[in-house]
Amino acid sequence: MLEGTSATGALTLARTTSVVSNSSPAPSAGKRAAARRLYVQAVTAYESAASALQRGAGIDLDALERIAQRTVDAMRDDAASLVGLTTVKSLAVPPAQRFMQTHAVNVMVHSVSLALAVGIDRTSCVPIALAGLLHDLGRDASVETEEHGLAGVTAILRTGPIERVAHAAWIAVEHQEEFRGPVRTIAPGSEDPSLGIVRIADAYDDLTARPGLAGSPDLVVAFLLQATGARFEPTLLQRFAQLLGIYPPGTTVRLAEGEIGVVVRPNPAIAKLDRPLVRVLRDSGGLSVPGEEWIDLDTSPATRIVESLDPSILGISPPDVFLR
Amino acid sequence: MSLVSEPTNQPPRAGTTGPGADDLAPSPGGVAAAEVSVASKVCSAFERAAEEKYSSVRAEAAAVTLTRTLQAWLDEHSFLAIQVAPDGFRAHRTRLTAGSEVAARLAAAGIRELLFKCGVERREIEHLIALFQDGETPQASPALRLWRIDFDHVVVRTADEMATAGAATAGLRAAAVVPAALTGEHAELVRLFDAGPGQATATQSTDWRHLIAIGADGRSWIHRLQVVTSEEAASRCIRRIAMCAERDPDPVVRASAAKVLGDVVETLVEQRRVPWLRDALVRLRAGGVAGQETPAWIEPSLQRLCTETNALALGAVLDDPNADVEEKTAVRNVLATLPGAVEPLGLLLEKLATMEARRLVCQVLAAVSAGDPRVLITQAAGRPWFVARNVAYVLGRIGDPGVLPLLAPWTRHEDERVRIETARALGRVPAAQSTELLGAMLEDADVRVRQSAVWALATAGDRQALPWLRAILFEDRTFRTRTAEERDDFFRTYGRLADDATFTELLEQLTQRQLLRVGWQSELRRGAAIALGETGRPEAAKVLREYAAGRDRKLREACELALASFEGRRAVPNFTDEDGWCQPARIGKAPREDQGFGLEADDA
Repeated sequence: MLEGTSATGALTLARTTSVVSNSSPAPSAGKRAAARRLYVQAVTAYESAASALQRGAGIDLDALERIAQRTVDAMRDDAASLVGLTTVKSLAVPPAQRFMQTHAVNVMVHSVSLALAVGIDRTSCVPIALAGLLHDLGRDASVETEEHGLAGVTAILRTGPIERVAHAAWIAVEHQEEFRGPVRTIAPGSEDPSLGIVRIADAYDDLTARPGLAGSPDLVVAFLLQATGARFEPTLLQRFAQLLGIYPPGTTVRLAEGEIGVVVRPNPAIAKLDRPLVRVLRDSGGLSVPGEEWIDLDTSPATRIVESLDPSILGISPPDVFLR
Repeated sequence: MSLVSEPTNQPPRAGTTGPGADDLAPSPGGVAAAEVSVASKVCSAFERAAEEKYSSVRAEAAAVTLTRTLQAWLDEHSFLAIQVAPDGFRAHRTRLTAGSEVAARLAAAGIRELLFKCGVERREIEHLIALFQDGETPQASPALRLWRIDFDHVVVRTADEMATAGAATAGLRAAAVVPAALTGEHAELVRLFDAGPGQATATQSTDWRHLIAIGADGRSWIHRLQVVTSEEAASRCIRRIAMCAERDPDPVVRASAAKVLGDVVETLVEQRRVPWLRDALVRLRAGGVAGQETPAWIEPSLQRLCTETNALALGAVLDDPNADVEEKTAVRNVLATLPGAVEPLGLLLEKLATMEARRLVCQVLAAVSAGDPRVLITQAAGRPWFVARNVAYVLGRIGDPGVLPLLAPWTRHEDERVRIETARALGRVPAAQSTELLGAMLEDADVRVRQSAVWALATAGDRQALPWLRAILFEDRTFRTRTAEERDDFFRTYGRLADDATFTELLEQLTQRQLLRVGWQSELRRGAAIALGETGRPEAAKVLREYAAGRDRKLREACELALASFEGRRAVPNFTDEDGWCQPARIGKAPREDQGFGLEADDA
């Protein structure tokens, strides 16, 4: 049994048999299961590395690189399943059932998603994935969060040859803006894409980890675009928003007919960014929907999303949708 | 790392002591707007939900509104994160007060990281824990007034706090604690986020579609995306850390950055990636981060570089004739940016046990002090003679004419061992002045100094010395009193430097026949044979072979020796001092360069 928590509450998740209607555009169960396995392996691998670091033991860089490579390959095949899993903010894996933070893996997933979307090749994606995975390694090594980027450099350098981890070390120290100067404006193309990608992914996952509406993915994306576009490389940020859509995966939404559900997969068409694939959890009467019911707004012109909701007050757990 | 609990629907109990909505302290400036914004948003959402007959949402909305208020208030104060243990929370839920009911709703709403202020509040955390351990409720602090919640499961992550909290919460299942919420860049994002959409950039469009529209330039830029190489990433990482170490307003962060920079430097040296380090340091210098004076932030890096292991590794690169030229140059460049390393390397040099180690460190020292060798003289002032000798050795390895004014006084140093090393050093400096200084040292009172000087002249290869040598060989009558070894070395050097006129003269000396083969003239013929062997000219070999079959035994032996040297010089044309320290040896087969340093004998 997997346990996971969103930013908004606790979950005890059990594997259940999916009931998918024949006409459902639900993602392939096989791909979802494969994505879940990879996700859990990534979280576990990162947790092992962080634990080893705290114990002063060696870190298996090969294992982390393999995770990064597999993530890149998996996302080239099916990005939606892994991106959906980033709604999980902590994870308890049997048998210990100890909660493990998923932030590092989430940042890796979002980074790879964005990197692939802007046309970065697979070879270059792997160091970006590794950098996303290790960017906060110093947070586990240092109690002083102001210095965790710096501590991350030392930690990362211990993992292996410099030519394999230089990227991750650089991004670890850069992503946190250790030098606290005035807010700078980043012009298009002025920042290395790998750094820009990880910074965006990091901020997005941090902000969506906030409880309640504050962490609602749609509001976070809108906020990033409206208020802080100057803090990130604008083109990358815009592409990131296009990838996620107006209602990113994990957003709890109410449809025009009153159903409530969770966005599972964004619509890749620019003109239909507000029409994602939704997993319906409550019917218009507020009752739970048995089995799995999906509405693809791309092919359902009669309905639409009217608003996003705070899942916590509805007893909905978006990660549940992706972990089951 | 999370608060795990079940949402509770228990009604508040009468007579409870926790804060209700009215008990909440007014939020500090800047939060009110967020409160209103969030609260109104949540309330309106619940009102709509209530209209759709969701049960108890209004009550939940009130709790969530309080949650928002509390969260915003805490965010504003940059608090340290604390957390409530799941089991403990459940255990105490049965005696929650009305205020604690709010806490229960906070938990249900997913407030995993209740933020508590650092510094002053740490004492209050302990106080709070102690009070709850005793079943009391803290009342004193205005800040704590908000927190009439069962906090007996609070654990803070730092070691001290863990110890304190662990002692206070013995027997309870403690939850791990996230040390802080978002910091730096993200803290600013959170602040802006709390201010509400559109508040931070009023001039920007709020049209979402417009905001994500990537223009033509953006598209073309995306297609040009290139991720930096590992080398460039390492370089940028170093520069970033250095900037942080120099300019961060927090001295603790500066110190931490300097230490991390030392880690990076050591890693690059260990993994023989000095060119990467060079690129970063040179750019730092160009960017003005590193000035003329050694900045404080580079001190940890200096200490790392000056450890025996790293200094020897760098010296090995400099000393390795097969090392990559780029790497060797990078090592020199990096060391040249660290003039502050002279003192620690000098101290290290005095501690090293073996000649080989000292030789390698001297190579490093030479690279470090190449920019300003005067600092070496300062280091040697008032120190024992062997320090001056080491410095002379290092100055010789610098090999720049700029060291000549520093070496010149030591040509008259009171200790002959220093003068000997000075002569050797002068031989490595290609300049007319060094030849003049060596010429003067040919008249030194000590035979070993004279021999070192003449070897150095041979090394330098400056024919300016020929007239002085000629005067000594053929006109100075005291030369006849010198030892055979010394005389041979002078002749060899004369031969090495010989020009056409000198060569002709040497041939004449050799072919000059006398009735009686005795006296100084005979010795001159023998010396001429030795000198001709050093000229490397084929016609000399022909003459030497002719006389090697002669009847004069001394001349025959000299010719055989010269022929052997003649053959040897073809194979190894360089000529350097190879002898053990203060053990002048005859100039024989040309030695390897790495045999040139012998500090062993007299260091003790």
